Amino acid sequence: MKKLGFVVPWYGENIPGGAEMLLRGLTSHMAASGVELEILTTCVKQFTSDWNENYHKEGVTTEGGITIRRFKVRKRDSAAFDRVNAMLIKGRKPSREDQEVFVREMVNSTDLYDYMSEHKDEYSWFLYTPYMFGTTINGIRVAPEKSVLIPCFHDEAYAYMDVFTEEYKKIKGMVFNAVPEEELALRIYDLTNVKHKTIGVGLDTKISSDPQRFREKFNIHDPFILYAGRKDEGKNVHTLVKFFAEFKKRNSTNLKLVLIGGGQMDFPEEFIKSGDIIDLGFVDIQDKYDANSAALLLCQPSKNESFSLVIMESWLGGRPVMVHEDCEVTKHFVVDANGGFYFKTYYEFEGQVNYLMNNPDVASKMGANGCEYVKARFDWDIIVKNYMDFLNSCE
Amino acid sequence: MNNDINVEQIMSDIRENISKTGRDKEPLSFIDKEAALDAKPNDNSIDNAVDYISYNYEVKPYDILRGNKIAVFFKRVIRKLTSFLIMPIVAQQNTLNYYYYRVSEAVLSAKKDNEELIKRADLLEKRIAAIESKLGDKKD
Repeated sequence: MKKLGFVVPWYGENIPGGAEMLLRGLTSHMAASGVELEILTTCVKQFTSDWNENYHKEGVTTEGGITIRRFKVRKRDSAAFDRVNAMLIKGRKPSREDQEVFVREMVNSTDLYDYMSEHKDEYSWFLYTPYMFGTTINGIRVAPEKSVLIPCFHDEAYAYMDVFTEEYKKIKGMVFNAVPEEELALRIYDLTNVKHKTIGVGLDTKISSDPQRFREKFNIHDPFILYAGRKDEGKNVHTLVKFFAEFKKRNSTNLKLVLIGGGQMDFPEEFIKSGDIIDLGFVDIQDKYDANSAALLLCQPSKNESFSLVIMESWLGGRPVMVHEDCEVTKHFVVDANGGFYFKTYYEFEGQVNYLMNNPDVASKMGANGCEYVKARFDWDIIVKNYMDFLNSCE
Repeated sequence: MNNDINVEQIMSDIRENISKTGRDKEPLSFIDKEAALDAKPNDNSIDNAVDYISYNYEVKPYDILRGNKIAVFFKRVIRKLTSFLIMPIVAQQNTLNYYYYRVSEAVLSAKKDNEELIKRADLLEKRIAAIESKLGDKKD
């Protein structure tokens, strides 16, 4: 196999985002296992930057042992793009003409596409992520026969655009992070001639944790529900706080809610004063692993996850998880692994928390199920092997 | 993997237990939108709830005082002494309840209109299907 070219709109060590994290993890572990690869990207810094600004210098650099080729972006008509994007945000499907405006006026680099066209024979495959960016669709238009997409689809207006459905049926392969994502793609896209597989996202499964160390370090000796992640409305954490407050009013228990991660949120004052809600903010990664193993359960109330590393980490800590019923992906994982519960109403939440408190053996078995599930599927060595097997099968 | 655990079965048992013990009938201190969404439009409980509100939206601050003569006397004194505090709250609550009642009547009325429209739409769809079928026969 010749080298792989990962085509992405931006690249950097510390830029946030699920697809960005997936790419960094995948490329670094592939490179470590001896796969020859390069990142082909633009000079834009990250998603939240001005897509007309060339933040990085164009040219070739080596970052973390990986070759990065950066190309200058083409100046774009932001107003035209914003007009179509506003339609999509409202869930409306734009006209075909406007869809072309969308893919033409978002982040794009003519120099990148020219390079791909001239050098495509040097690469076995071009891999693109995520699905909606100019670098993805216009890169695919250069060499669909060498294209494999890691789309990171969500059920949103963008995914239904004809420009994508027509272009992505011509590629060679598509890799998904979770089964519900693959099912969504099969509903929207014609994948008759596209090889496709759910592989998932890798994580470091060789971790150790010590629940007692967490309890002593943070002086938390009562059972607790853990929330790990950003504290904002989009993650539906306010529902968890509301449900927990109600749980405390209706149940005589020493249960606590411990939150780790960034973001700001207003908690009911009486629960902060009583120490029933404890917000630890950012903690060291080892503290996070220890917290996972010390918790009664981890609750992931988000309705919009495409993978959810935090539930995998909780399972690696041997503890069960509770997720929201409206999130197809996390719900699928919980049922598939037999590793926890999903809830929708307060009453379900209350019943499930009480069940896990009163049945510690079952709770531990659920955590063990989850741990086994993660180790069998999402260890980086397995993910890299599955990706390489998939690419070989596309030839 | 422990195959003796079936999370769907456990969740189903938990739901059954909630229903059996009546925990889900105990009101919460907030509106659980998710649970509210589960209320079906054709659920008779909405009609019953509006019925209940229509009879009970007015809070009655006075009730018959019970006990022996001395107890009743003291209760009456306490009631008179606190009336300046209680009565404005009751009046405010009654006004609020009245508007809640008006809204719930409007919702019920809209629900009935909707049911009527669904029936008419069904009828029209059947008539269209019959006409299409006749037209198809003529073409053949």
